[in-house]
Amino acid sequence: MGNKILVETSSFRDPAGHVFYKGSKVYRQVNQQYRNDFEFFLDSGLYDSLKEKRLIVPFQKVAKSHAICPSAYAVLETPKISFISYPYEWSFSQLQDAAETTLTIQKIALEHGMSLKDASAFNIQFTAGKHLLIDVLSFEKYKKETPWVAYRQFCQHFLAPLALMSYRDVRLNQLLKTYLDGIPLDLASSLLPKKTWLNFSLASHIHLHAKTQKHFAKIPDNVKKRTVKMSKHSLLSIIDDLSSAVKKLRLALTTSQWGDYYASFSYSAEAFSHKKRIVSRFLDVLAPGIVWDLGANTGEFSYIAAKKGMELIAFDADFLTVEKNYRTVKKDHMERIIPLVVDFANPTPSLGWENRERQSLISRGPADCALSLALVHHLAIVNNVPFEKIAHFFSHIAHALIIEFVPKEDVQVKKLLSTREDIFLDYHQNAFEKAFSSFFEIVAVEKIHTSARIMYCMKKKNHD
Amino acid sequence: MIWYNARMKHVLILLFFFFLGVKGAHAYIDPGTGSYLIQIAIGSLLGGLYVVKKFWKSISAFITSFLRKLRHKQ
Repeated sequence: MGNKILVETSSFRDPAGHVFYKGSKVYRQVNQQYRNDFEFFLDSGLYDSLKEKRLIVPFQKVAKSHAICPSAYAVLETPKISFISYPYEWSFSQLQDAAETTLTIQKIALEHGMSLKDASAFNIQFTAGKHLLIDVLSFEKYKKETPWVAYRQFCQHFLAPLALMSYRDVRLNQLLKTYLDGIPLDLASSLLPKKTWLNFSLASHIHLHAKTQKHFAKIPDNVKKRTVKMSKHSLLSIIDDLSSAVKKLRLALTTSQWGDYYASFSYSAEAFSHKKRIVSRFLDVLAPGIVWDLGANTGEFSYIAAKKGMELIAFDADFLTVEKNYRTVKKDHMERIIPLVVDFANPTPSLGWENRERQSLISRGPADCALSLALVHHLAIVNNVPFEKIAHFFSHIAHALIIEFVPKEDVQVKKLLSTREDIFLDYHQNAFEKAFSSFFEIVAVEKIHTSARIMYCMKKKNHD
Repeated sequence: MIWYNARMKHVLILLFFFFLGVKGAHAYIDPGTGSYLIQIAIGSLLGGLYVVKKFWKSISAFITSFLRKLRHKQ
């Protein structure tokens, strides 16, 4: 990357400033027009308070000469976040914690005479075991007796998807991929069951809110000319009610397709423990900094890497599995692991303005190493992806691989083939090795004890 | 639902005249007129309920302590 300046492609909507990268460093330019609010943010003690509670990304002022345009008032340097994730990749509890973090920040801001001017879920990131606000220019001076500017955005980005996930289906947070500014409230209202009208918070913040939006959309000019006041007491009541609404939403954890995967594992405890030892040894050989676990399940193998001090992004396609993993990560303070919902048969695309505002999964890589355990047979047999294509894709997302080959005689593969014709004539070890050898150098191979499965340690060709 | 929609319309008209609209916002995101109004309505209701709850608590505390004192004297 050198010292080339790259402007963050999602940082353009708020004229208060923008993020840019120079080499490996992350900077945020604060523009002149945001000067008063920014100075108040520092002088009021709000920044110190949020920093102390680890609710905001810390920053330090650097020389103004770092600025990339003349409108700069100040330039801040912030630590690099190793992996930016998006709300449509979060499990229910991750989104719920992000919502609570936003409301906690808003309460603290109001105590200091400021208010959040936006409540975008994209401004919250999960890093080092904690949710924090990454947009340090999100505050404005609280204008006495005015409502919360970001109320609509909070309802669309957090309350609506959480309510839909809780009352309808956990997969409905995928609507956030289509609606980047949050789920429209009329859509959320029509999808939620009728019984949610009996819940005061959902009835008011979603159903009535949607009806009011629709009604006043036709006559905004008449309304804007008039003046109305909202006491701070009322504003705090709203924040408290939103907070209690978010906390009360629950997700019933049931056994999913993958939830009991380890329990119904096709091989013995001895094989499982041997596989863990192999993974540990291969990780020592590769010594990666950032590892992507491509089919993490509930995180059993991610923990091995995390315990070695590596940063883990633990992906799984199953929502409830990721939910379980997140709860465990939180309970056990596994700060190096970020569980995310991603289906590698259809990884997160680039979205938003110019298709560059929210990055695809591939453009957020490559990882130093990818763990692909008990995954390739799903991609090859369930999704009909040839080995060559899998190897090609993996060579784009990781510099090294720890990969498991599950042969046709394995119970799991037999199960996958039991309901369909076996058209996979090239599904065998030689073809697997040949396909991956086009992109990777095989460093080590080891068969798992009492099992037909084979583990490979590979390094990408032409990569040090 | 027809009954509901008619009712809803009345509620919204009431809201409109009762709260008399909102100040023009200078935010970089659109707060939405309807969102502003419903927020004010819910906020006022919740704020009012809080005051009533607090008032009710202080009344009940006064009555309880008064009755306790009365019993004590007897």
